[in-house]
Amino acid sequence: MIERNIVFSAPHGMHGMPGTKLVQLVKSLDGKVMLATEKREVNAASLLSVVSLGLKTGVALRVRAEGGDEQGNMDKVIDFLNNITE
Amino acid sequence: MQEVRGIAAVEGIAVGRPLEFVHDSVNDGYIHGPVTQERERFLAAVEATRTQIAQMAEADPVFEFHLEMTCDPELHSLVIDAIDGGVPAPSAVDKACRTIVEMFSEIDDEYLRERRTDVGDVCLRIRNNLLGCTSRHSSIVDSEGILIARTLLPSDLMSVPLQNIRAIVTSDGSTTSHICIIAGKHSIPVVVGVGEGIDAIMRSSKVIVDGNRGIVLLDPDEDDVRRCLDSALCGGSGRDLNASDSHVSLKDANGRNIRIEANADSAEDIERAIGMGAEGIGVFRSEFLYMSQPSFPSEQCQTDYYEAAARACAPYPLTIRTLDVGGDKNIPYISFDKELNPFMGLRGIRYSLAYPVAFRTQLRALLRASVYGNIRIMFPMITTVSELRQAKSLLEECKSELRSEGIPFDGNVKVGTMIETPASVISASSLAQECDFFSIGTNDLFQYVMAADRTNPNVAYLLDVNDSPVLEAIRSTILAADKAGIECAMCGEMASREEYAGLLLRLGLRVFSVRIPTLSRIRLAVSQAE
Repeated sequence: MIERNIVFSAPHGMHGMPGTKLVQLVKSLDGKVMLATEKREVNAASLLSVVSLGLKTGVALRVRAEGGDEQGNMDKVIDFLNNITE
Repeated sequence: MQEVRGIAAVEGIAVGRPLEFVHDSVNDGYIHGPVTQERERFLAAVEATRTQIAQMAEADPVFEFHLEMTCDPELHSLVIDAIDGGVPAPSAVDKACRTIVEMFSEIDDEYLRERRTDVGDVCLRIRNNLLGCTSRHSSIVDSEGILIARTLLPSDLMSVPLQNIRAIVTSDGSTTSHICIIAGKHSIPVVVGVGEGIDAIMRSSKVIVDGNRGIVLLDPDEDDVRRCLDSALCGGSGRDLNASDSHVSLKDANGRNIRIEANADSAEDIERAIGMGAEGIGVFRSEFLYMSQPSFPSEQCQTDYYEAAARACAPYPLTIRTLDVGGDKNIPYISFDKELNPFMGLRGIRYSLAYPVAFRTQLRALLRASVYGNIRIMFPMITTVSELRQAKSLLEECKSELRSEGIPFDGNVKVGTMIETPASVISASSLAQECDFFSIGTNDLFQYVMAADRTNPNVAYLLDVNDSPVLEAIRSTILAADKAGIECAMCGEMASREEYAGLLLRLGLRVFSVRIPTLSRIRLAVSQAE
């Protein structure tokens, strides 16, 4: 299991479109990915859970990858999160 | 002509017959089967829902989000758990929907929170498929008109031919809903939050929907319609009035000069405004720079930004308002203590004075950029003379620093006060002794004088301009400025409304700062006012 802390930087927060793309990415991975804020941790393969975190620009986010190619999965998810522009 | 007030959600004006959107609520009587059958029924309903939404997603990518939601593991486990506990599938979907909507309701960001409407939309569709209802439908859609509904879900919009919809009015709703996003893409004006006014709208044979002002006019006559459409054409293109007319200066009844300026948020806005005849920028909202950055913009970054704006505006005056955060304006990297009442909390100049390091950075950048044009500095949310003095003394300190560092700036840069609180109106005479100009912010002034939240439709009637006590506040502010010999501008929404141009001139206003699309309309209204 590996973890990384990032500052969430998407300009409009985690709304429907980036959330949908994130979930589709996570579902394509072999392994589990979790997202956590100060308040709670959710499964990144659930769109409702991801959007309900209410992620706004500038919040601290912990990403956890468990199982499969953990490092590879982590890199893909971090890369996606850091490049949301919509 | 009667009017119903709501909240402006998508710009534009349209006239037409009101068409009520009726939700189909047919229920064929559901027979509760054994658990395995209920599970199968649920999965079949999800499949049917996916097929329907996939078609909508082809028309608008917003529905990709809905499509992904149908197979959400969280939703499925909530529904299946309820079914396993003996709940019939349709009720299990309702229950899961409520749980998820509740989770969303705790989100402290309005836009993200509003996604709960999308959750409700998808769940309702699954439920209707379970109950064998055809999807929510309406028979109105064969003719053109104004779509009127108490509530309208994003998928409802996809069930009607959008080319027939001239405008949309809803009883509840939020300006950040997907309805507004979809309507905006199709240039369909929207007014939300008309509340019980919906009944009167439905009884009318014709209505005008004004998405710029959030108003629905009932049963207008031919003249009303013509006037409205003329002003819509005017505002939309900004290419009316001859270009040669657009920079001729206007005079009031006493022969005093009238200036029409514009409100702007970027150098591009300024270029457009000046091109359309604006004689300056009455408020340049610096928070847009702060919002576009991942952290506090550095002095150099701000200097470059203000320099570009000053150059775009020169030789006309560019009034830059210092950072106005707080209230409903949040910037991600600025954290606030939780405030019960943010509109009465640490906002505008209060924030700047509480964090003088950041404020000094902005003041130094404004001074440094002042050599490239005609920059004026304006402080938001001033309530007392002492606040204005503190802000000015920080500005003076920044000037001495720059002087000792040998950095050039305009030593005569003008300083102004936003008049947007009752306290500043009461202190206007004293404030006028301490600054070079006033600018009345009517949006906040109405809200604070009337103690009426401007986003709350239930108290919107208090914000009506006619006979409003706020007019007296405006009059006395202008009088105080005149007595002290300083300029008094108005940069709130009221200045952008042509129907108030004559009234404002009579109150003594001579500088209007307006939304860019309304520039030529206001110019015309001012020149035609008696």
